[in-house]
Amino acid sequence: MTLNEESPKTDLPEISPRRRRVIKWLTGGFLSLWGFGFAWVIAAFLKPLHSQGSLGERVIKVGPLDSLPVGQAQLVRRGREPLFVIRTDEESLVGLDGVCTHLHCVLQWDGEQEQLQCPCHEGAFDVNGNVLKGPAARGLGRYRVETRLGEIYLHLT
Amino acid sequence: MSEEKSSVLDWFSRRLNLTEIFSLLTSYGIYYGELDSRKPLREALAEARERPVALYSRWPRILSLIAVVLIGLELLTGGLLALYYLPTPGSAHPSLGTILRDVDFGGFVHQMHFWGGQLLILVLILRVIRYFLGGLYHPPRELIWVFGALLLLVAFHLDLTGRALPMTDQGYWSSVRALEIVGSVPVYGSLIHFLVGGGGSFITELTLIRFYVLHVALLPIAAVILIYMHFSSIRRVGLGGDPDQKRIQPKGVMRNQLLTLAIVLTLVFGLLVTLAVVAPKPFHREADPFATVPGIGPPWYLLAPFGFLEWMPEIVPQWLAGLILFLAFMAFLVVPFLHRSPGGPKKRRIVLVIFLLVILVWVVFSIYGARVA
Repeated sequence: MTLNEESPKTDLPEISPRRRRVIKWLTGGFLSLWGFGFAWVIAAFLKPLHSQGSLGERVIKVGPLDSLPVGQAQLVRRGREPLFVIRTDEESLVGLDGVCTHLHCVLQWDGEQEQLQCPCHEGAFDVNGNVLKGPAARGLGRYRVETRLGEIYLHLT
Repeated sequence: MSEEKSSVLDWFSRRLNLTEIFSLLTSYGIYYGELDSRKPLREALAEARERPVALYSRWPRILSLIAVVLIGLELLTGGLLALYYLPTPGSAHPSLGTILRDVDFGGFVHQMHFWGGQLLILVLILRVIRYFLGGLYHPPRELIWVFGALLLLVAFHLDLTGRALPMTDQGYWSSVRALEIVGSVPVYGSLIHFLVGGGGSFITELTLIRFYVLHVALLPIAAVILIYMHFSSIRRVGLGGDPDQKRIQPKGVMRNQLLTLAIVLTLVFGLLVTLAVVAPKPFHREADPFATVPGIGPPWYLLAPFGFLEWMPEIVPQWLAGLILFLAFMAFLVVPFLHRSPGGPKKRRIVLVIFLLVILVWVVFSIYGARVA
């Protein structure tokens, strides 16, 4: 067994402290760039896919107008996102967000009082999305609803 | 700065056996010296620094280190892919399509995973060849060989289960061919068919989910354990056989190993990126179990057994051919127990001739298998 003193200092030229600092800084910078790139690729990969918002997804076919009586609302699902289409009278339809602006509970339509009610904290919204009562501070988002050839379409733009 | 650091270290070392954890981590090819895990980390390190150890971080001893890097890369990219992949026959192919088309860097991660796996198999084969030529299977190093051979086997199974997962037509039929070959081996084949379901002629949803569990959980765990056992064995018995083995002061060994690791990482990463860009694995059409795609053979490493089975005359029953394959593989696994003492130069020459013959037979049958398929 031979003990081999492999000291790099003996056969390599002396490095000045200044030079050593520059090399250290360069190494650190290089490694940080690597780490940053690595983290960036992984973060970009992990970023959840959102619906791309193609035309087909921006206009939702809700169903035939005849199946929605006056004073009733229909729950529309857009992926995981609930929306309501309310028929306020013979002619007019309203599209509203189906999620309470307070704590994201899914609202329920109360046909008798013509309100959207929140099951969590007794909040309520009228057919125009305004806050009637409860902790919610903001009203609901409104969407354009259109009828063509007896079919209801909800526009999400 | 350093005072603060050391106090953090002390805080943890009073609550954890850091030496043990450190030893566990460095077992993956960073430091080969033995550490006394009963002592505090700094004391154990200081003691280890006094003992000379062998310097392993040079070619061809770094093959295992490359394997560790590749296994780590496969675990990382595989974990990323598993976040989007859905292991059912209906959604497997579309979900990979989503990864490749919609997810940022999805194609890149997929290609890295594929080419990393191919490179891993290549490195493991090179490792086994080096162990054979270096005589690294004579006592007390039998286990180094056995672990190396088993790791190669696990890598084959990882590739085999992996290429079925996207349910592309190429992967699907290549897996079916592979299952047929495995099925020809008497006991082992029926066991595998029993475990993965399907019966070899097609891949059902049960087969797919079992392939998936094998690919993402059981086989990776086996690979990580095997490479750990390999390094554990090296820590105990060393990589003798090399005449130029130097024992040096361990003070520089750790830094040396880390530097080698950085170089290996960069080179492997560069090679994989190059392969992924220059020769990307194409995303084939979705498999239709009722439309066999002609001309698809088994994976390349199974071409030789495939060629052998096809070459066997009709009169030989399939189970006998399968048994011959099985015995050949078992002989490969127990090489250290068949050939115990190194012997003189004459015996070495015989071993070398046998090695060349085995390689020759393998290559010839592979070419034959490729032409038949």
